[in-house]
Amino acid sequence: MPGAEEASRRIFERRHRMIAALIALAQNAGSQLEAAGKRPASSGGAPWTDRTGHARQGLFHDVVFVDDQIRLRYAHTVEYGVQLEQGHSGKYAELEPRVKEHAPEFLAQAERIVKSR
Amino acid sequence: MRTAIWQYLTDNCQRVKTWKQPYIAEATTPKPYGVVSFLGDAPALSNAMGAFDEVRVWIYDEPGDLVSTDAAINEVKHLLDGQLLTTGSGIGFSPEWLNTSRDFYDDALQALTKYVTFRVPKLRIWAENENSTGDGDDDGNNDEEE
Repeated sequence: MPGAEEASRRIFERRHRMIAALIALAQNAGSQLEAAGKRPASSGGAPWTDRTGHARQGLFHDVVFVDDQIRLRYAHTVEYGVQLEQGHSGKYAELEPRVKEHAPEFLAQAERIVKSR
Repeated sequence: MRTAIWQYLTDNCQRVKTWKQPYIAEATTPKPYGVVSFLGDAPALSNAMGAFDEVRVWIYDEPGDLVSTDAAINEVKHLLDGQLLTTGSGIGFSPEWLNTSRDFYDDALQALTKYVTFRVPKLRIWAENENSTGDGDDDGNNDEEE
C-alpha cells in the first residue's frame, strides 16, 4: 500500500520518542525522590533520626525498561529497611509516603507526554 | 472519618476488641489490638473531580499465631469493604478494599502484624474544604529509630 512504509516508520519513531521522554521523566522523578529522602529529617527528609546514617545514605533509585514497561524503583539498601517501612504502623516509613507525595505530579506529566506525542 | 471508622470497628469487630491511635502502642501493650492510620489523599487519575483517602488498618497479634491474625484481617476487610459510614458532620463515605499486606514481624512492638488498606472515594472539593479524616491526632513525633 502506498505510504504504508512511511506511516509505519513515523509510528515507530513516535513510540520511541515517547518512551525516551517517559524514561527521562522517570529518571528525573527518581532523582527528586532520592534527594528528598536523603535530606535531614528536620528538613522534610526520611523521618527517622540517624544513628549511623547508613539508612539515609542507602536510599537509592533506578529506572529500567523491561517487558515494555518503564519501572521506577525507590528503595532501601539496608537490611532493616523493612522494619523502618512497616514497623510501628509505618511511623518511620519513607518510601510509600514519598512516592504518594510525588505521584500526582509525575502521572500528570506522564499523561501530558503521552497525549502530546 | 477517623472517628467513624474507629467507632464502627470498636462496635462490630469480634476478634479485636482494642483499637488504638497510631504510634501509641508499645511492646508491652496487650495483644491483639488494632491501629487505624490514614495515609493521606490523592487525586483520582484522569478525573478532575475525584480523589481518594487511603485508610490502613493494622492488626497486631502474639507471635506464633498468624491464623488468628489472618482471621482478624479478614473480619476487618469484610466489615469495612463497601460499608456506608457517616462522619460527625454528616458526610457519608464508603471504604473500598485495596490490598492486604504480607506477614510481618514488628521487632519494636514484638508482634506479628498484617494490615489491610482501603480507599475512600470522595470529591476533590471535599478534600480541599473539609478536614475529612476528622482530626489531626497523629502525634508528629520524630524520635528514635534507624
